[in-house]
Amino acid sequence: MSLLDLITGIAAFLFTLFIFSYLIGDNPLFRLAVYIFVGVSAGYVAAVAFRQVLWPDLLFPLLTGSVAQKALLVMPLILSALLLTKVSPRLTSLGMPAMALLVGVSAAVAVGGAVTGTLLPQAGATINLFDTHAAASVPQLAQMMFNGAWILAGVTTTLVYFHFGARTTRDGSARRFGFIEFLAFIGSIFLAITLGVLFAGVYSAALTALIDRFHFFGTLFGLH
Amino acid sequence: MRYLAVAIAIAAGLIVLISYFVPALAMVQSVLLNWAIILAGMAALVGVFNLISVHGDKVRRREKGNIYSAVLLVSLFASFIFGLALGPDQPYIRLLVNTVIVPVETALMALLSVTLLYASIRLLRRRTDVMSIVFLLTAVLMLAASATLPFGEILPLNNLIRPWIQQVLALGGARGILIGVALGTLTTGLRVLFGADRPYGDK
Amino acid sequence: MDTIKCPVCGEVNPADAEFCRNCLSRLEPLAGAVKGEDAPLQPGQLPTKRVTADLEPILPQWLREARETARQSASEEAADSSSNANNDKPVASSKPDLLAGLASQGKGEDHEAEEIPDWLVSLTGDVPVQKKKDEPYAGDAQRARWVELGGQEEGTSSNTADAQASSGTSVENTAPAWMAPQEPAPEKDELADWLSRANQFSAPAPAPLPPSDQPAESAASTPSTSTPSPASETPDWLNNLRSLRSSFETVPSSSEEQPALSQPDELPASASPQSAMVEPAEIPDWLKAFDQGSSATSTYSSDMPDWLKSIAPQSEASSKAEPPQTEVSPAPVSSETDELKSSVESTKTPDWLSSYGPANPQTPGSTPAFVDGSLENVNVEDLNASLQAPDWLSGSPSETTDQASDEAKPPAAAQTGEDIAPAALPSWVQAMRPVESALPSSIPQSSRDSLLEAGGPLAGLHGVLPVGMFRPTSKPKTYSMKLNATSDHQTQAALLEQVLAAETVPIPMKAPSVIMSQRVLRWVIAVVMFLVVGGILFSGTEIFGLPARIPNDQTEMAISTIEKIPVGAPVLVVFDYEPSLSGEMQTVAEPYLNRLLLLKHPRLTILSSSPTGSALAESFIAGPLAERSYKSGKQYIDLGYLPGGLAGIYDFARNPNAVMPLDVDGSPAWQAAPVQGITHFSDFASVILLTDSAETGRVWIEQAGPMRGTSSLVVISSSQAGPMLMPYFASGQINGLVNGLNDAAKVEQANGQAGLAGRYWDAYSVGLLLAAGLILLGGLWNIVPGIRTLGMEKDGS
Repeated sequence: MSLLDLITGIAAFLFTLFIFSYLIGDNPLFRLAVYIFVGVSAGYVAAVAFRQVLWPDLLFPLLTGSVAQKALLVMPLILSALLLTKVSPRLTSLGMPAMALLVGVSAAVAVGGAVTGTLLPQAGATINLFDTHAAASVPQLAQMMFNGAWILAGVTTTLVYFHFGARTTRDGSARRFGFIEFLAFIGSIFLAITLGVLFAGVYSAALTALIDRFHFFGTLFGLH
Repeated sequence: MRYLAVAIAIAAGLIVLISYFVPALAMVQSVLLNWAIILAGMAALVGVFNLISVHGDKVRRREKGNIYSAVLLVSLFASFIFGLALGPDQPYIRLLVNTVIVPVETALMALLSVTLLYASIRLLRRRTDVMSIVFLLTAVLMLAASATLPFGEILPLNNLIRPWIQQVLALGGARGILIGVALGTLTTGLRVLFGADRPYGDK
Repeated sequence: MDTIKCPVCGEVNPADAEFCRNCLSRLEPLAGAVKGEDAPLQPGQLPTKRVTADLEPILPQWLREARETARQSASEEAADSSSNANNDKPVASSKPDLLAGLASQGKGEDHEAEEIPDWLVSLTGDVPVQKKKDEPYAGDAQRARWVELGGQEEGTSSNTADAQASSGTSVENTAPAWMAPQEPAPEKDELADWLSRANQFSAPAPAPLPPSDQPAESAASTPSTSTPSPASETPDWLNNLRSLRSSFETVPSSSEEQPALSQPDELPASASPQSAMVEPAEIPDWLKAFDQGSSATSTYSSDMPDWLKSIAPQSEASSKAEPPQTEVSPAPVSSETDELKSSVESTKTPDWLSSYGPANPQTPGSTPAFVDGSLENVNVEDLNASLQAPDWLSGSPSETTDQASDEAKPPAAAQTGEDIAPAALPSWVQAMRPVESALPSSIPQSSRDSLLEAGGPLAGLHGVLPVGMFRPTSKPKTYSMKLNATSDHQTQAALLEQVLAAETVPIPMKAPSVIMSQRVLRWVIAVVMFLVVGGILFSGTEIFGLPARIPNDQTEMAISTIEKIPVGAPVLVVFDYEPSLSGEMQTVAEPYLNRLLLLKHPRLTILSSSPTGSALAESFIAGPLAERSYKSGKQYIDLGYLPGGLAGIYDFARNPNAVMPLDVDGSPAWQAAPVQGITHFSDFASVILLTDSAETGRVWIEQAGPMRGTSSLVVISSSQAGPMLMPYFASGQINGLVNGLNDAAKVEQANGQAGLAGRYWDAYSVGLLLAAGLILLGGLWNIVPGIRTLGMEKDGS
């Protein structure tokens, strides 16, 4: 291990310890580590944004590109300058056109992707669960149907759970229709199961990160 | 300025959306998307400038914790200058990432394991209902089913229950969530395209 | 019963009440435009003359009673003090009637009633009140003050002359403006009005004034006499004069007792030039006749009112007296004085003046000219006791001795200075000061003595405004406090009370959980986990079995996609995970990419939609994939950071060459070997997405999925994103999914090589089992109190 590796390793170890010290409570070491992390991250992101986006896509073509390229880049140059006014509270309204362009384009792309990338395929997949031609045998078909029913129930009841249309009852309270309420309860069960699975996955990821840190300590200090 | 922003948002959005169906507008769509990419890069810079402004004010006013803000600013400018000069892919810059960013973020994620465990242990004390019980039971089942024992797997758990829960029960719920999210994205996007929602700063 | 709340004191009164029963203030403001006589004056508009007697009814009850009491007491005191004619102290009615003159005015008065101001009318009053003669006429510092007793006492508004009464013999030539000959009194002059009333009382012929002391212009400026007032409306001040006249006869030398009057401040300086030439004295010359007692009537000008002409200074000594030093301007010249004297001498004494006969029959010659003869029977001493004659009247013709005139001047001036200095009041205002004896007898002696007014118009009086005086004497009406509330009102009121009571009831706070126990539990968990996981990891044990491979599951499908990739094909690898999960991602992705690189030797194109993705990719290639010896620019190319989120991904999928023309070094990317022949997104043989977030995976699947054509899309995800990406695998949108350490272990089994997944597995399994056990145990431990708390909340609600 070179000296540079040793130094960086000890630095990483110290930073890890500083962060682990939060288990005891908030302390200056933890804060120091966090503030340094934020500063380094922000500086690195700014350097990446400039070197890999603004310079090659905007500034360099404006300086060396063709007339057509330059003409096309005048508007993003102006919009970028207007976007910088977002830093000032007084001039923040000048950045609205740039933000509007960003939001409008993103909204359109999101709409297209949601429809073509999720809604239609997922709905088709739910329907295809009951495609009898996909099953090679009867047991397989039965299993497919069984699983499909569960999946369909899960999908529909989960969607019903997020339906919040209600009507006023005699006592003045707002309640959903009885059958809807029953389906929503079923959907809450499916939702709880899904969230439980997600929780297990999150914990697994965190545990893996912990193991990775211990592995780093072991590598640094030659424990294994 | 407000009306101009609304007009820009609606026009740009409609052009991009229509180009999904009208190939003739593909060129305009590309231009608009390119502009959006450039503006997104500039937005990252604006965020960093805002961070500098906030902590700079703290240091200037000598508020509580201004020392930490000073440390932040010093580290920010140092990494920015070095990254700008050497390039983000330069080994020393990668070393900076591996020495500061990766260990800190990984350690924070590792702390999450303790916090999640503690919260799940106390969940039923704070909230006792069917959903909480089902949630905890599922989590316990999945955690146990993801692990193995020294003598091997816990067969029904690892090979039967876990796959079925993951690929049937959780799949249904997840699909329902995804469809719901997609519907919400569709609705929100259309509202923005029609000018009903103006999340770009118009109050 | 409807009630109304007083805006001043807040007392609840009946709705039909006009005045508050507590503070007697008006309950409801006068609404509507004020019209008629009550309309506000406009510029240039003359005020509407009013009969002040009509104002009597609007006086508050307490004031009316006080006035009545004052009248009664004044009459009593006047009767008592009638024998004391030499008393210089001003007569203070024991029962002053503050505004008694209001009621007596307007009775029998003719056209002049509207022209007479209130203050003047109040001075005259209806019935002359016998005042104490011993009341000094403001001669010393503690002289009593005037109280408008209305018919009992004399107002001093007419005493505008500044001449000090102490001079007695000399009337200063200080002619007030109203006495200036250039300003003839208008027909409707206020002073003339009351003087005209005073003419009702016929007075003996005034003694001729000294020639030198006859202020002609002052006489000329005096208001002309008008219709004499009935005998019953003898002005109080006239009544006072009778007493004063008697006092002048006795001790005119006591100059310090004589009130010193200062010239009224309001008297314009635009007095006649003649007035400026008058001797420096306040007492006009025409009034000096009173002091001197000399026949000076002939010197008075014909413009003088009769009553003034009759007031001829009968004392020769008064003419020799020096004018008292006052603040006023000098009196008129002596020529005018002569005129006054002559006019006084030649003018017949008005009846109302003649009625003021001398109280002391021994000195008939000293009888003031304006004294009504009909009042001879009046006890002058009583009058004197209740009057405070102005200074200029103190030097009445009743003073015949030189001693009076000699002694009256400077001392009077000094007294003037002394008396005036504290208050700086004009003489006629001082003359208006209420007499102490005019205070109501109902006032406790202690309060009267204790509250001594030090300044202002009421200086010198004790307890002038006692508190008890203003208390309503009538018993207020009693009203029922019972509310006429219906049952609905009562119900609503009870409801409101409950709501208000609930607001004040403190909500019992739940006992805060002991923070120490929470922190201790957290420490215990952390210590246990660190020890167990770290210990097992550092021990290097691999006793726990790896998970078995499941056919056709997402991991197997991912492994199978590698088989379909041609050798050396371009493969796009997207590093879209955060540094926080870089350890897990490297562990999970390493067996799959290792297999791919080992089997297919693809040309890698590295891309990232995260700013730190490029650095992570480089460290990944230099770390877990170091054995493959992939070099940048040869086996792989790093396109760097793709900004814009989903818009950037969509744009890259549409046209990757245009969106990312340069690599991370800034060199043209699409001419490098790893990306040779790639012009579309679908030219990639496979797209491998490394992500730790379900959202990022969803975006890539939605935006780039439709563009990949026949290329496979494999997602290598963290265990936290796997459950949400499973539907995409189930729908066929992704070809394979390697989810977490569990699937990575399966891939390692497929590779037949031990990797990080195998190294982490024991610690990973123990950690998972430990967590499952702790959660189960904690859930069982907390479910009982949780159910109990739930029951308590339901019972409480």
